[in-house]
Amino acid sequence: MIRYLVPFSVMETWLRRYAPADSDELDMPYPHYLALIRRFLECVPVDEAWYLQSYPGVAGAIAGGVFRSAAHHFLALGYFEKRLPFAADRTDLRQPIPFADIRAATAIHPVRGGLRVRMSMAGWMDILRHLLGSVPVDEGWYRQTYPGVDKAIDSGAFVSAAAHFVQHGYGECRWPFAMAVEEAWYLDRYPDVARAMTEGAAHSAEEHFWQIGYREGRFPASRPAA
Amino acid sequence: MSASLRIIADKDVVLSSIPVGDGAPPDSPAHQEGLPGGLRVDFAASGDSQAFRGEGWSGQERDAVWTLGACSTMRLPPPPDGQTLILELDINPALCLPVVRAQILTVRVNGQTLGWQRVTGPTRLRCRIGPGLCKPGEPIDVAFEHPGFLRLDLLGKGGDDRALAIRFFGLRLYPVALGIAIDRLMPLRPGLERRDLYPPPAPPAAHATPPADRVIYQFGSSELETGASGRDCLLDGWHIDADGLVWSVATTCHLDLPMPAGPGPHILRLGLSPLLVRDVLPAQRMAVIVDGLLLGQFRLHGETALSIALPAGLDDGRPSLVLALMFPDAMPLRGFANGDPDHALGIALDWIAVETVPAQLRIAASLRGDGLDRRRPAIASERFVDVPDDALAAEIERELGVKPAELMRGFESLGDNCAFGLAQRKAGAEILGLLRFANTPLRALLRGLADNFKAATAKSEIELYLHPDGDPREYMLRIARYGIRWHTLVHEPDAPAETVAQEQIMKLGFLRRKFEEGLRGGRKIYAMARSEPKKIEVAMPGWGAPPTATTITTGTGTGSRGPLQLMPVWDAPMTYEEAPPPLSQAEAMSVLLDLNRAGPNSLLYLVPCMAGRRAGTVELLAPGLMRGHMASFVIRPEEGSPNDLDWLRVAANAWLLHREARARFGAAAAA
Repeated sequence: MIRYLVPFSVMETWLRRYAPADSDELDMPYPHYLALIRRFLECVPVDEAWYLQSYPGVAGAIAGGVFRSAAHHFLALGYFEKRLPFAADRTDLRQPIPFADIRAATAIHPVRGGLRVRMSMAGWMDILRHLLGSVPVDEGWYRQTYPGVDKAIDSGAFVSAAAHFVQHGYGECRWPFAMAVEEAWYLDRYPDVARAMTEGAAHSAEEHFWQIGYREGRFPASRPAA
Repeated sequence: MSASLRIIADKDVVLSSIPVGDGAPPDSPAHQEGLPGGLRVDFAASGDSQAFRGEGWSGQERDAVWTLGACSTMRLPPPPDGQTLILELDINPALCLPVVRAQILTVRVNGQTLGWQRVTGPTRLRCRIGPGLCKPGEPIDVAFEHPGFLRLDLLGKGGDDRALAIRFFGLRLYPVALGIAIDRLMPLRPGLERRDLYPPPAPPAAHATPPADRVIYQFGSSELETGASGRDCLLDGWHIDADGLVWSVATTCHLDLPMPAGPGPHILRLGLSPLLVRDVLPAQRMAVIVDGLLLGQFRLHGETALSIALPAGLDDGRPSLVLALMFPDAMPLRGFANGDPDHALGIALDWIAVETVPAQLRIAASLRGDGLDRRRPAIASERFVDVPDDALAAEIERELGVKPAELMRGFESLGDNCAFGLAQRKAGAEILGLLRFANTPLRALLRGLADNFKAATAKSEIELYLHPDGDPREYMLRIARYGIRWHTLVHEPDAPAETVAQEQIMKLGFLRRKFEEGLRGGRKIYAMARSEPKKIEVAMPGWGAPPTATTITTGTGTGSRGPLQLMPVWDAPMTYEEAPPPLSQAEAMSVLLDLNRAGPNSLLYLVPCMAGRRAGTVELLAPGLMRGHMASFVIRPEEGSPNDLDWLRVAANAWLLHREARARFGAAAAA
């Protein structure tokens, strides 16, 4: 499955719309807050077989067309219902921070018709760090792709690629893992890139996505994450 | 497993806790041969009730049959001539304790009301049928009215979606002289209470059209000008937040309202705003219960104002009305950093009004407005539905004696959006209407009506601005107090803003006076819908966000690490449109009551086609209240839009029914 993580540049721009000018206080509708959290859960791997076996009711909902997959269910509901995406004893992956912990760090305010979340940018960054903790950083790929980080880990500055990614890498718009680009779809979706290629300014969709497209908020492929 | 067995597991829901058989021993003659000298109907699966039951019944259960909806009927065989009869029922009400504690049952025989009773548990109910009510040799038509039916799924008590009220176990019809023998043959079981019907309430004097007395209780809003604070009426389950909003914070909340003065009937009006969370809590269910009687079950999709009839018999000397509101979907705040662990939010309550129903709206006000009673209205018109487009105008003229333009002049749009106003224009009716080209959400309309649109004559309250979309941009008017916006149909290059403001404010004042005169005159049919799409701001898009503009200004494409500009999708707020929920009858009733404050007026409210109705059909729900069905509310200014003529069909059918209502109910009642 093609994986994707919303880049820091996009997240920061998106959050700015909820903060009055020159303020670090966020004020956003609660559903938007949930959507923001979901964007970071999209790349958490969901063990389809384990999930369906552990939560038998989900299979029926998928068969009934309510959800596309276990991953879709997890993202839409399961996470918020305290369901796990994979077995608790998996040592190769880290479980996402429980939603109850996020709730406990979230101040909500009922307003006419709905709920709003009000928190400082620093408060959100704390939650974000926990969310990033469950992003499956590809240690080998990350160290190979970012030699400077490799050296820093060797020197003991960071315990792992995952630790670097959470502390610095995400804020620098680095990739946690390789993201495959669907060449034809990308050029069709982004005609300016296709034009740039015909003018010789870019060589491939993959190169464009790697060099600038990811940070600009482009998507690498048509397939949804779940 | 049958539905009834399923529900008994919930200790609060009382549907059939006590067996209510007629008590006849299995070997008695009553069981073996029926009732000597009378009729005995057994509602058990082994019984014979199916032969007598008409409309309004659920499926057969092992020992009984439930009524469905607000009315159920039976046809009994002709009685012996000239005798007073006793109709005896063994029944059990659908309750949800401790809040819903009773069902009101009214019994009608051959169209005449015998009386009513408040059924609070297993009951043997006796009704006396005088000899004049039944004709020799003709069957007896019995109608049971039970407007307090409840749906357990909407109370959050399981998934039973039947509208249940009374469970029938047995019925007997016998001459009054047999009463003693029957008592001996069929003694009361323990737990069964014997009751007689109360006589029907005296009908209000036909000439009595009291001015609509209204008492308003304000809670968190000042949108209705008058009205005292209702906060002293709040009992348990409420919280006033720092912004002054009054929130329901429990799944059941109570208020204690002073008993309305005067003879009634009265109607209860609620202005409220539910707590909704997109994708998590898209609607809230709410049940309204007064004095233990369930009056309505609603799905709340947004800010609304509901009108709910109060049953007769509440004004029995008690000092106050206890109003209970149930919110099974109330959202718990437990677990949030600042959430009160005991709070579960349902609605923000703005105001409650209790008012006397004017004489011409008594039938309309007595209907249950939550849309759960599936009976079709007795009178509906599909007259022009099948008339081909090119023959419609001639057919209308032939049938109604008016040309389409004249027909459409008989309507006044209450806004929502400009669709009805455009339909009038397309029919050749270019009339002046205060709200014809206005955007008036329901609550905004009610604010304006309550205030007699006074702000439309106050320069300080009217704001002129340019619509952000369109080239050239159009001048718009706005009155913030009501939340109403108007098109001026004047564009930026046509005139300077000062001139437009001066002209439009003068025009608005004139239209307001005209609107007031129209309300007093009571000659027009007012039309309203809720069709303006809701604009929803997109939460952070995920993978698969909508396509972005085809050009961007990064000028890179080369991987240059120059100043970064995101794709347009991330820079601009995105919105999408969502169809609004259709107007409910309880909402339409709120508007109708306000329209009738100045004079007897009629309302046509439009909904997307429902219950198998075809576009253009209009139903007469009660004198003064009509419901029209539309396939689509979209109307385009250019000629030949696909559903242009559906507006005309609806208008023609409404006109026809309005005329019919006048003929049937008299001019006064027909408004």
